[in-house]
Amino acid sequence: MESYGLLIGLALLALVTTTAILLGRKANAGVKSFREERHENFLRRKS
Amino acid sequence: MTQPAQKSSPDADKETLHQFGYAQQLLRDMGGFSNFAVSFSIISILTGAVTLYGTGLNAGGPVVMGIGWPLVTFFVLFVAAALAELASAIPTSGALYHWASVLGGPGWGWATAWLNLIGLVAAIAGIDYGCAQFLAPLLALEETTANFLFVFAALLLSHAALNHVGIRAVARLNDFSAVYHVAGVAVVVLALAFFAPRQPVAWLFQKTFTTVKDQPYWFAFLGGLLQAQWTYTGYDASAHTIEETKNARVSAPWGIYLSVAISGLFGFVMLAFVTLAIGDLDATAAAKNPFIHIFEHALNPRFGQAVLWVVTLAMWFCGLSCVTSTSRMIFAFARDGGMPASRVWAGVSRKFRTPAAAVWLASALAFLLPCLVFGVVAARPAAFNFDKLYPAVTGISTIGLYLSYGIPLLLKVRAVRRGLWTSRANGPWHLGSWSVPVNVIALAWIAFITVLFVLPPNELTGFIFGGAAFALLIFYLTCVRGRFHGPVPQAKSHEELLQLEHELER
Repeated sequence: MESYGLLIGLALLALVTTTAILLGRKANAGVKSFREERHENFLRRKS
Repeated sequence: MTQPAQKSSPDADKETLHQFGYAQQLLRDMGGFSNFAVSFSIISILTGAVTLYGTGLNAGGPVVMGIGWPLVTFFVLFVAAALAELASAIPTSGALYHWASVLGGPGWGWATAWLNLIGLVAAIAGIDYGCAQFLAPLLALEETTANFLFVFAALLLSHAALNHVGIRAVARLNDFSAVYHVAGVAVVVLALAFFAPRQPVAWLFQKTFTTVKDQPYWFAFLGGLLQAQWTYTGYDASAHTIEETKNARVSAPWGIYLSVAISGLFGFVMLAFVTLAIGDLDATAAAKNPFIHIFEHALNPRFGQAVLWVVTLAMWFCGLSCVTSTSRMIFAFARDGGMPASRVWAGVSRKFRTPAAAVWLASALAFLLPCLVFGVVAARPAAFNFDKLYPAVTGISTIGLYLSYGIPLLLKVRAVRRGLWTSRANGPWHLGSWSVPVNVIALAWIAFITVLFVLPPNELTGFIFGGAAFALLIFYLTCVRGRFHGPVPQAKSHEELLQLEHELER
């Protein structure tokens, strides 16, 4: 830990940040696709 | 497993709730930020990370802050994302309990509800009793158990009264609390950055230290993760307040996820600056309150006092949000007949449209828990150590809450494997193909911490929690099994639900 601690710490911080962003982006894409599907269903019902 | 049809009208939230069989009894007045603010306030980096700072530092030294905090954050992000998906799919106040009932049946729902309730009540007790311990000396009261209990009761009373009076007032206070937490961390960080001497950055990630005896360092380090893990509890509040949130199926899941992500960031920055300001590590670890000790020595005693006030107010906000969340959980569980005297606890104040009876019950139970613990200690002073009580209560809260998070996640993975949960069951906030792996990682972490936090030196947590779990099992087998049917629709038709809402509005 004394010799590799800094490396492990920085790698862990990078991993946490990347994971947080990726999960958020994936969920955001899910919300968008859900809205698009719903909009398409709505248009289909109208026509 | 199918999902109610989606609508895009302004009344979509209400109609979604109707499709789950519930009337809109609570006032739906919270925006997305307010929903986030409830969870962010309960996580409260100025509460959990501060009150258990000494526990973490003594267990593993600065490395617990530098590596332990990000490590826990990493896994909790998966738990939060998995819970957010379920909140979006089944947006009711019962949340975990309702999800487990839908996915696994009433028995699983009942167990989830009680584990959640134990965790939440222990969380209120931990937060408000911790707050009383900070506030009593600030009010120049002698630091005795009687005074702590008196201040503790006054704090609970203030939280119950505000929650009774209205969701609007509480939502405004929660909004302010979120800003306050960020500002509080900024004050702490800026003061330390400009005025305090600092250790080199590498010290945060490299300095191993422990006062735990008879255990290898790595094991003591893992025990120190309780500090971060207890901080990351209660973010299910965004789901418990979902029936009071506008655009609930998107706002509440973001509330869950972002409250964890943003707490992770601000918590790390705060802990890094505080830890790097440590001068004498041995003296800090041995101090009564290591967090305050750092400020008093790095800056000056007056600043230490000022930080105490900042932290104490943050704890008050945290307790307020926790009572909100617990009362909604009790309300939803009682609405379905899951508690003794359910009709009483499911009552809604006509004047304020809040679950008033549940609010007072949550506060009363939280008051009784430390009284009970003190009673046990007073009866057998030789067998129990007061120093271990606070980590034990926080450990109970952590395990109770995370087990209640884990049960619906496990049941969802099972439902996916059996083909009962398809993409049609998802709400708007979903992770698509990542969903199952995210759930599996979350479950593995929950299993790991559940075992970790009952092993020595946290065996007291194991004894108390094990005893409570055993009592619940006996209660279930003798009094509940076959009689409790899980979530019960409040009415058979849409018209009846409208009638219920109309009666409440009169």
